[in-house]
Amino acid sequence: MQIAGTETQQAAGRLAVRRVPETLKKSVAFLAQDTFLVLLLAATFFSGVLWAAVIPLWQIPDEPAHFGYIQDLGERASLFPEDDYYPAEVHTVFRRTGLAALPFHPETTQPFQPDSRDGPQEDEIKELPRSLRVERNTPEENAAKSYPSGYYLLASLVYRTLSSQDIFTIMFGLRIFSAFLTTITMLFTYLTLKRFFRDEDTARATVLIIALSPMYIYMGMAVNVDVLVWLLFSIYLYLLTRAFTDGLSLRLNLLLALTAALGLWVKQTFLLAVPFYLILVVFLNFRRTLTPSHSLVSLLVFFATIAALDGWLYLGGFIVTSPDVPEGTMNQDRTVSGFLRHFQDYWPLYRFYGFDSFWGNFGWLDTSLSQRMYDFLRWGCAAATGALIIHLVRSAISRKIDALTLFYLSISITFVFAFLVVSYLRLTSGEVWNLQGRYFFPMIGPIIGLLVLGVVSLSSARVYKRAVLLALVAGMAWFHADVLIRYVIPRFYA
Amino acid sequence: MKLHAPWIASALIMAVLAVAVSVIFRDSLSRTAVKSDMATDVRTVNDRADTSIGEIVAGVSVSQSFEATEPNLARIEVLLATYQRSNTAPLLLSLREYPSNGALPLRTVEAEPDTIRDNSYHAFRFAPIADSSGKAYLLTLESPGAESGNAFTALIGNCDCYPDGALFLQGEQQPQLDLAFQTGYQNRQVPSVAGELVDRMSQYKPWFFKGAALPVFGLLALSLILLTVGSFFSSLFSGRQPRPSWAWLPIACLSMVTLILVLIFDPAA
Repeated sequence: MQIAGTETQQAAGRLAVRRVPETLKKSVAFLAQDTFLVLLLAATFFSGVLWAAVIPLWQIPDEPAHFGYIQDLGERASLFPEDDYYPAEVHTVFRRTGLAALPFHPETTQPFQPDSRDGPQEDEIKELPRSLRVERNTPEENAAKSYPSGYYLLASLVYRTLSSQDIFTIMFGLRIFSAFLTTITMLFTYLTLKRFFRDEDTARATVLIIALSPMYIYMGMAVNVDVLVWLLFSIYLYLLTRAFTDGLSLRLNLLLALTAALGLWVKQTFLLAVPFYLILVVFLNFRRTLTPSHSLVSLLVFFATIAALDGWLYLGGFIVTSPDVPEGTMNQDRTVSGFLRHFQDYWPLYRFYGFDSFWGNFGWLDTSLSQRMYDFLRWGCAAATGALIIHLVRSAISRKIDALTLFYLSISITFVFAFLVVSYLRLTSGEVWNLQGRYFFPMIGPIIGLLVLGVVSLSSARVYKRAVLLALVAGMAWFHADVLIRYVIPRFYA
Repeated sequence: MKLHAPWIASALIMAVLAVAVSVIFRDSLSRTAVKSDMATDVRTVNDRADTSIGEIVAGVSVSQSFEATEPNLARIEVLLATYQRSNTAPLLLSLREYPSNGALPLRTVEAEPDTIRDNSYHAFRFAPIADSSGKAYLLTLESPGAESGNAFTALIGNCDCYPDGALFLQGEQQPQLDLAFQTGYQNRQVPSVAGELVDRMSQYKPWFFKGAALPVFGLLALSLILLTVGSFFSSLFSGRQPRPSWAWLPIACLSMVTLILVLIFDPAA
């Protein structure tokens, strides 16, 4: 018995060793077969690198806060930050470069050195004492430190690799790392959309729309916890879709639980993985692809894995809410009618932060696009939503409603609704908080997928579908170039 | 020929997109404002803003005298506010020598309402005044088409923040108040906008994002985007037909990059 067991283990070991090159071969073959995918990943990565090169230091919302957290972990061997404050180097560099004057002042650029490729204070900044990386010279609290340390630990490895370099090399190296993570996100988004549409052309068009979204690429190369949240969300959505189409096997269930647990180590947003999972189980039960006993086991495994890996993190007092709740002006009664009244009063603000900034508002949300462009996007999205509703109603009438579409719609609505509730809770606590479009980026695949589905399903004619996909992709390519060249570059350098 | 039709069509669309991008780039960089902005050094005159001057409606004039410190005065930036609403009446800035003795304005600039942002400096650009150095000027803000509830305001410092000038409301001097504003002088030579842009974008960047690396990354990203879009179009057009090898793509790409280089080469030099 013992010998048999050992032999089995040896065979398993040999199998595992053999599997590695086989898997690699399979991956290479898969990529070689799909030229589009290779090009998509290369385009995503290099457009991220281009945007990283264009946007000046810390001119992406909250980038100094996230960098401060990474620096804190990178300079010390610790799982959690030392305190809630910024390292002194962040403030010193921000002030000395003149870049601290840019946020919220779209007419302001950094001071430039004439006829030079080095900034006026660049040499001095490069020679700043390393001690500033651990010192504190401001009582300002770093809001990023309310997040778990998953992303920051990973990024701190890049930081440590580059720690002998100056701050510019470290910061922009971290941005390239973010562009790399976003490239992997795009891979999973593409694989998910292929399963969702079961039609290669529509899946490719949709993933291209996402990859060409300037705001997505802009935030995707940022030094920000969100890039890892998107990646893990894209993996989670892929697994959910696989579970929906192929059935919830024990292996898939465990992978879902592990991804959710990992995500909770990165940001609290991943709490939404739980309702997503429950929605999946409900759908699978309705479709009778999951028995009640199997459901129970799956649920137990899912929650037990999360509790084991994250329970101590969330219940042990390691994760705190925002360190400071400033006095706000939007304080309302904590009632539904109070919130609705607030929503009605501040509707233009929500439209600006929630919708306009989803498509493009650069710098510290101070570089807007033209009103005409926003109007076009608003009407375009409204039309696509209308088309989706028509598609759903038609499908319901003809009793051919696609369950996967309904599932995507359910999780998308859950996600948006959850953020509205968070917004409500924070605003009624007196906090100044704006629901921004980029917060919806973890769900950009399903959201854009549903909108594209709405538009293409208006007619069954093949010519119509091709024309629509062609127009959408060409339009996004033009939009990306126009935004970068006409708005972003002049804002920072003219 | 039928087999190659999708590739030809996608290469053509790629070429159209490449030309469109080149036109955007050329158009953006050759705009006079971009070149003049690059040649302009902005000097803060008063950046303290404690309160607003009130709505600038028809019949209201807000003036501020100041002394130009350099030649080629070409821009005045005033800290404006919108009351968090969309106002529709344009705002006029006129510039006279001070004291003006009833002389006509030297420059008049109109700010379109949709270009004015809340609590932000708005740049009024005009043709440079060559001999401005050491001269005193009076800037005046008016909005003849504005009415209460549809008007902008300017922000002021509640102090004698700028001792060399004074604020006037309806022509009457207001002691201990000064407009928050800055001036711009167009004294720098910008022989090539593209070259200046590369220099500026290189500042406060690491070695791998300096100089020639920037246009290289730009062209690489653009080419890859065009190739991806082209690859998508070719599969879209070919439908269920057998797909030929993708030898067309590098050729199409090379031709596009050449085209882009030709088109964007120093467009505003």
